[in-house]
Amino acid sequence: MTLQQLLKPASELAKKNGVRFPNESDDYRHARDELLAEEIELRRHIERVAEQRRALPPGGALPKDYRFVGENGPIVFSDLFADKQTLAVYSYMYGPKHAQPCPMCTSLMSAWDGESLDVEQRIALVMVARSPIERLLAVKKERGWRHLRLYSDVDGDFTRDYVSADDADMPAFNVFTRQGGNIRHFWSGEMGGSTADPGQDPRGAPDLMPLWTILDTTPEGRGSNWYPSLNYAKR
Amino acid sequence: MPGTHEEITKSAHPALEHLHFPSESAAYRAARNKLLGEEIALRRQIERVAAQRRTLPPGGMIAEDYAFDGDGGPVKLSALFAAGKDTLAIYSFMYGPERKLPCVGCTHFLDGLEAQRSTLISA
Repeated sequence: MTLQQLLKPASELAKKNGVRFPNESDDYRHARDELLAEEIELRRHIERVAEQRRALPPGGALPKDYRFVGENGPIVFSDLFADKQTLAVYSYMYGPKHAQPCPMCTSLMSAWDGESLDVEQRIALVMVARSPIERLLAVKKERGWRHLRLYSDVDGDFTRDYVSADDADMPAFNVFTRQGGNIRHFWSGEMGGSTADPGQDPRGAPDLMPLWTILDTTPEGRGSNWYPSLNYAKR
Repeated sequence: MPGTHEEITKSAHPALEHLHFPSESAAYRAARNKLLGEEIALRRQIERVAAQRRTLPPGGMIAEDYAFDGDGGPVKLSALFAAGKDTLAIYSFMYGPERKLPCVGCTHFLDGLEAQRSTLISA
């Protein structure tokens, strides 16, 4: 019997939660408990998908030790792991031809900057873009990022192999593992345009951007025609 | 000119089209595609739960206009709604007066949120 089969039914847990708020109606509580059961099912689905991800067969071996340039000069892919066994690489849409970085990527990375010290206690996490390192460091300074590790994929070999075969400026999130010196691909976000549902931008699940997850808890939702910008008028 | 917000956003649409990685095995691809099916089901479940949340009956009226202290002095809950916004989200931070240090988990969560605050306010 799997752990999931041993779990109590979500509706049973929801009925027993005992939470009440000032002045709430019976209608509200009834609907809220029904929603709570769905939220518990969703949480369990997230756990199942993470388990299934961890059970993938070994991914392809890294074809070569790609070269990057970071804040402290040239570095090879294998050294990005530092002392960790897992390396997550976010490919930042900021190619040399773009006047400005992608606002959506930048918003995601701003949130990750605050968390990256914590993330890096468990795994290695780096950001890679095709622009020269000087441009990446200028963005880091401008956004006030303190912790994110940024690298330039100068020759584009890594980007062509793992992000876009024709070196298009696209975002990607790739996870690699290292065991006994063998580096393998583990998983990459694959929910691109061809998997998107009508009326939605491509999005992963769970969503890696806190922004969208927070908006999902509100009456406004994500909206269908709003995107983050690099700057906002002062309030 | 590439680099404008609209152009970048548009070009982000066909993102992550990469259904084969260097030297991956057939077994990896079969398992990965199965996982992809589950990830899509999960994404749809996230959307369904958010939609169900938006159809909740009206919640309880607030019992009073609670008073807080901010870095600009005293403020009422009703004034915490930013100009032009009809929704207010409040995170309750575990840092009571009896604690020497704030809750570590909350603090890390808020580190991540801090960076997205201005973005959320404009949404």
